[in-house]
Amino acid sequence: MKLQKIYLRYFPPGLAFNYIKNNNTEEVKCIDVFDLTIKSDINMVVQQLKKREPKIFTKDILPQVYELLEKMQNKLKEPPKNKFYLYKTLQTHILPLTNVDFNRSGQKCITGSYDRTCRIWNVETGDELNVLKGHENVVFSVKFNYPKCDKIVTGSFDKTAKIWNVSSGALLNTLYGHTAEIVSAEFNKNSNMVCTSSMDGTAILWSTETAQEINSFRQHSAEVISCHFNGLGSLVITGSFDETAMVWDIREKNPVHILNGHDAELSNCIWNASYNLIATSSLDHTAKIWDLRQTKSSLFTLKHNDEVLDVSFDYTGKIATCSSDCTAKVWKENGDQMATLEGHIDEISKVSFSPNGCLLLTCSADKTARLWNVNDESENGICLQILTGHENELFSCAFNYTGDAILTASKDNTCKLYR
Amino acid sequence: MGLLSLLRKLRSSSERDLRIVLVGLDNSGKTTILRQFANEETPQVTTPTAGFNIKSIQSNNLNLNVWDLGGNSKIRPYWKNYFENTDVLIFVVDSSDRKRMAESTSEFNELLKDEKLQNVPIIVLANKQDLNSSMKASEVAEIIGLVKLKDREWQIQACSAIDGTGLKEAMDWICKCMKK
Repeated sequence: MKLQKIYLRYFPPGLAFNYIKNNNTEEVKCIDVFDLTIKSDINMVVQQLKKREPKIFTKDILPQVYELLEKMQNKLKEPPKNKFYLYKTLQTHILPLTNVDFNRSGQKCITGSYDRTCRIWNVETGDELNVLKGHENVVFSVKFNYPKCDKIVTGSFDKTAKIWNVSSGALLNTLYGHTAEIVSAEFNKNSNMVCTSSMDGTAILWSTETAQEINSFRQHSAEVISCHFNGLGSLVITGSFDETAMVWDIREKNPVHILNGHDAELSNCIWNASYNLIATSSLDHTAKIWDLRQTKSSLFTLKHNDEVLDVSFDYTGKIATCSSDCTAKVWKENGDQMATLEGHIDEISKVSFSPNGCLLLTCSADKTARLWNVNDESENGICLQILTGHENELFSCAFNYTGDAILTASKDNTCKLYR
Repeated sequence: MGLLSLLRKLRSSSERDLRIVLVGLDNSGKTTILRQFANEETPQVTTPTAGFNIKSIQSNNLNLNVWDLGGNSKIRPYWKNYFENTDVLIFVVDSSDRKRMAESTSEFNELLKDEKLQNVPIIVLANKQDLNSSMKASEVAEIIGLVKLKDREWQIQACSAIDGTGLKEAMDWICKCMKK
């Protein structure tokens, strides 16, 4: 086994080791370094890592690790950016946008659309780098393979998912098997598997290389609208309109856990940064937090006055929820409410923390996205900025990985970049 | 609305939830018709729909999700995106625009060929009857070939989206059709 590359992840602090195995396959091993703070003594952190994972942190890579940790610490010290300007409008889709994603470096972003294409953009210039054509219906879900980001998986209403090469735009594989619209698709960290979920009530696990089905999860009784791997790629969570979320071992046909407790369709389900907690949001006006070790009942319930449409964790454990009641709320790790974010005048459909957890981004049917302070005790819940410019409701929004660019996608067929 | 509501409108939930697709050439009056169906005010100027509009309408104890699809020739090829699980197709014709009747006819024939719309009842709205130059509904039905249809239920309805004339009748036909 040979170490090919070390990726660093600023938020939450972590390292990913990309190995080439003897049989020429790749493996990515992710190591969290959550205890790295502005004040940490890097030598100490390195020693701890060496103790924790002696096989990975061998003598000859320690100097390199030291350098990377230093770089990460410097990033943590940077004051967070909190003023954004409309930088580019990406305008070549001819029908409404769906979902968006940034690559890891933040230099590229991708957009899905009702016009059946996924487009790859250069963030710096606003140029369209490639148009991924081939789907026969709406491209709903678009995702890079983190951390490598050399591939894209698109999930479409044409019942297929497709895997593409980022630099050439070439179609690598088409995943056939679902019998209804695919609404969610993502790679595991090794990039060797893809998980898709569909309106047909199933989630399927695929081999990236062969496009063959590895396993399928068929216990939900209604549409599956969300599916996510854990960090190791050993578990998958799925959220469904059948009012439950399920946790699956990728080798098994039956769920390991069924998260039962919501009284209406789920709108999302996600992992926290360390993959020991799960958040579910539901149209029953609540979101619930679950501990993977004890899933009989939820840890706590977060309440809104109307349907909860999205939920998000930051890496420290804070939780954000947004709702048809036009508010977003921020909650502490223990379920205590920190702030209610009021200002949007129509439902808020997506909520997302900046990578460092200092800001919250919300996007709404009121044609705006808003940025909120969620870090400072005295100013929590203050709206820092209203990102305007779209002519129709916003469908999705995203922060790039370093937290200095924002992407919003709208029903008005455009996508806007703020920097 | 949001992406999630779009997904919810995509699925065929209860039997009383109907999916209606509203198409026709650009400037035929689809968006104004949708607004009338939803009892909303119709503004003086309607900008071309660069995508779609959806409204949920209650009528005769039925819940109708009406999808108004932009009619620009560039986006017509994408109408197919929305055909799955369609219960009724509404095709709107600008009865005053004789020049584009051939274009309307050819788009109409394309729709008839679509597999996903097989056996789906069709109602053609001969819109803009408030204009003096408009053709009668019967003429429109003749020109676009509606009268020759044998494999599905169809209806022609004269209407004026601006003042709402004829739209109640259209809605009644749709509901009657669905209750059979």
